[in-house]
Order: sequence, then structure tokens, then C-alpha cells
Amino acid sequence: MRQSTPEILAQVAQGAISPARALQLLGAESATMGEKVPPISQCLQELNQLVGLKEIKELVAELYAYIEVQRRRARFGLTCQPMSLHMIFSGNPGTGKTTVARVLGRMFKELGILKKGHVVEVERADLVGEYIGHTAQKTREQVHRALGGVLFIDEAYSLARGGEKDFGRECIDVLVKSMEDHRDELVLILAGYKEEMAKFLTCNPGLRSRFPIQLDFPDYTAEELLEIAEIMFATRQYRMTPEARQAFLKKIKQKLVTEVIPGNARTVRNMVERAIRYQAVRLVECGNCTPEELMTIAVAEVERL
Amino acid sequence: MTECVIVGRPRVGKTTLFVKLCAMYGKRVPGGIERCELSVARGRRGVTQFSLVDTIGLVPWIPSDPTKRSQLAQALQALASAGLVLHVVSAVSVERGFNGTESGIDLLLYRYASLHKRYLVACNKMDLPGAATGFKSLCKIVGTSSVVPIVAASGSGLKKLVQRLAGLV
Repeated sequence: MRQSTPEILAQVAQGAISPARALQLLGAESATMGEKVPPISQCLQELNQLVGLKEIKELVAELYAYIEVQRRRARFGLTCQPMSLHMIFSGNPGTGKTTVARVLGRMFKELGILKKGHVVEVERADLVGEYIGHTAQKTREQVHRALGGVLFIDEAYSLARGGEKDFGRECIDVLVKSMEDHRDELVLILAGYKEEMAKFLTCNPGLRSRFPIQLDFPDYTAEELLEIAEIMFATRQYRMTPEARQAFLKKIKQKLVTEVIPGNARTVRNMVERAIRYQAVRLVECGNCTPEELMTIAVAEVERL
Repeated sequence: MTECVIVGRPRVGKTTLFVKLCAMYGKRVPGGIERCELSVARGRRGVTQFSLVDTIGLVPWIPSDPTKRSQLAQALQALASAGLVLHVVSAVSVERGFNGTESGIDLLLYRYASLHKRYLVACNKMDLPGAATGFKSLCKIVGTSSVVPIVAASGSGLKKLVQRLAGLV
């Protein structure tokens, strides 16, 4: 629920919310009023705040530079070829594919490549129909929804999984055609596991050349995951003691060995949220806690994870 | 008249800067909040006038003292209604305000103000040891073009700061 500025301020005066929270709420409120889009430096900033993803940050910086230079060339009447910006993101779940797609959408809007910059996230079920002819219609609908923005297809390899008679083939054909027809209005991003995506691209030779940008999202290392956890705690206004930090790193290293999908930021988020619950259980008994105590995650919580 | 609000964490030099600027360019206006009207000569562009508002330092937690809370609400009110935000950051504690500790109140301020307001950052206490590194990391976070290095206590850098502010009015 959105609150108005006087309401938020009254809550601060009453001690119901902290000034930090009030700032977040104020930001959210005026964002809906003005619908302002963050400036380009802010998009890059947002991307740089993500942990790891070095390769991706470099590529985005390249793209940004390229587009900016093209614009300057156009000012002097030099020719500039429109670049195809369709992409393939491969990597395990929880490695930042969707997050990066959202940032890219906003960045392309800022640069004037896309009109709206929104991201439409779809999967196989949204594209493939139930009877002959249905698929083309459904796919075209999604493409129209995404015009002016980014069409992000998660688990895209599943479109080619079913064999010759599967309707997924029809969907791919429609997508390829739309990519050409709406070249200036649509950026298509296909995402999925690395091996499956590689297989998917070999099954249709025309596909690979249509996606000039292929990004690999590596799994996070234990240190990167710890950094992510610290950011997650910080945004929730918690912090770990140095001992808890050590213990957390140890836990993450254990998880990296045992987990089926290692290096996953979502696992860390679950750990963070569980630690916060354990801390609440520890503190619920104490009558008057200091703000310091309420913000601290001790080693005991982390040990229980 | 355009209102410029001075915001930041406690003890970064907001009031020192406010008092200095008032002494150099303006006159105090009586009233509940610390407020003062500045007239800045800008060469051929004539004189730019704007009012400057001082606020209490923003803390991330909820203070138990009701007076303090109402002062915080007042500060946020001034921030929300101002057209121009002057964010004061201490060069020796950049990391503390923009990272996890103290809940990144500076980061929140930066996100809010750079998006919704005309925005300038004053990097104060540049005369202290270690300030250069802090200044560099601040530039990295908010962009070099929106940071002005100053020493509020001695008044150095204030001329440039005021010119930049007047340019944003």
C-alpha cells in the first residue's frame, strides 16, 4: 500500500518507522507520481552494485559506449548500422539473469533504443499453444506485449525439446520472424542452463547467428555469496558480528559441496531470512533491547542454519 | 523562492556549513527551522537568490526521545518539499554512510534525492588525513560531476559550492 508524504512523516514523529524506512517510502511514493526513469549513470551504478558478474559489466559498458558513439556519429551525418541486440543468457538459476535483463531494459530506454524499456518475462507455457495455429497466435500476442521493451524467455531450451511434431518449433519460427520484423522495437533475451542452451542453439543453425551477444553467468564463489549475504542483511537493516561472518562463510562453503545447484544467490537469501527469524526467536524474550541488539546477527543464529 | 535543503548524517558538518554560508552570502530568517536567504552574484548572469534550510542529522534507527523524532520528521518534510538538495558527506566516513553499517543512510539519501530532486553532494572535512581516499570512493558512487570537495570549518571550496548550487536553482 502506498502512503502519502504527511502520513509517512507522522509515522516518523510517532516512532512507528525509522527515518531510513521513511526515505525508502518517500522514494517509492514520488516514483509513482512522476514515473521518472533513473538516468543512465544510475542504471550502470545499479549494475555495478551487483556482486561478481565481471564479464557482464564489461559487456554492458561496451554496449553503452558503442551506442553513445553511434549517436555522436549520427550527429555528424556519418552512417551507423543498427546493431542487433538480441542476447542469450546461460547459467544456473539464481545467478542474476533476470536482474541483469531488467537493468538492461532500463538502460536501453535511457539510451533511446527502446521506447518503454519494460521486461516481459515468459516461459514455454505462455508461448506454446494447445492446437495447430494456436501457438503462432499466442507467441505473437507476447511479442506485441513486449514491443518497445525486452522479451525475456526463461528456460528457452524447452521450446526445442519436444521433437519434430512439438509446437515449440512453430513458436521459434514466429520468434525468428518477429525478431526481423520488429528489429528496432524489440530486444529478445533467451535464458536457460548452459548445456541445454548450447544444445538448443545447435538444433537450429539459424538461431546462433541471430543472437550476436551470448553471456555466460558463472556460479558465485563462496566469497561472493558472503558479500551478497552482507548486502541482503544491510538492506534489511541487520549486520553480522565478525564471528558470525566467519561462521556464515563456513556454512556457505559446506553448502557449495552438498547443494545440487551450487553458487546460487537464492539459497543465500533463504539463509539470510532464516537467520533473521532465529534472531527474532532469541530476542523475543528480552524486554528492552537496544537498537544495536535488534540489528545484530550473532554467531548462534548462523550456527543453526 | 527555490528552497535548498542541507541533509546528511549527524556530525558531518551540516550546521557549520550552514552558518558559514549564511555569514558569507545571506541573512537569517526568524522561524522554527534554521533558514536563511542567500544572494549569490554570478557575474553576467546577475544575482541568484535562494533560501537555505538546515536540518537535523538523519539516523537510521528510531530515537526514543519524541522531540528528536519530530525533528527528524521535520527534516524529512524539508527534504520532501525542497527543490534542491545539498547532501553533506564527511570525507573520512564515506564508507560508513554508503555501506551496510548505519544502514547506509547516505545511500538512501542519494537514491532518493538524485532521482527526485536537483542534487549536489558536498564532500566535507577534506583537510583531515585519509580524506582523499574517501573523496575518490564518493566520486565513484555518485559520479564525479556531482561532488564538490569543501572544508566547511575553514570555508575553502565554499565559493565553488555556492556557484554550483546557484547554477541548479
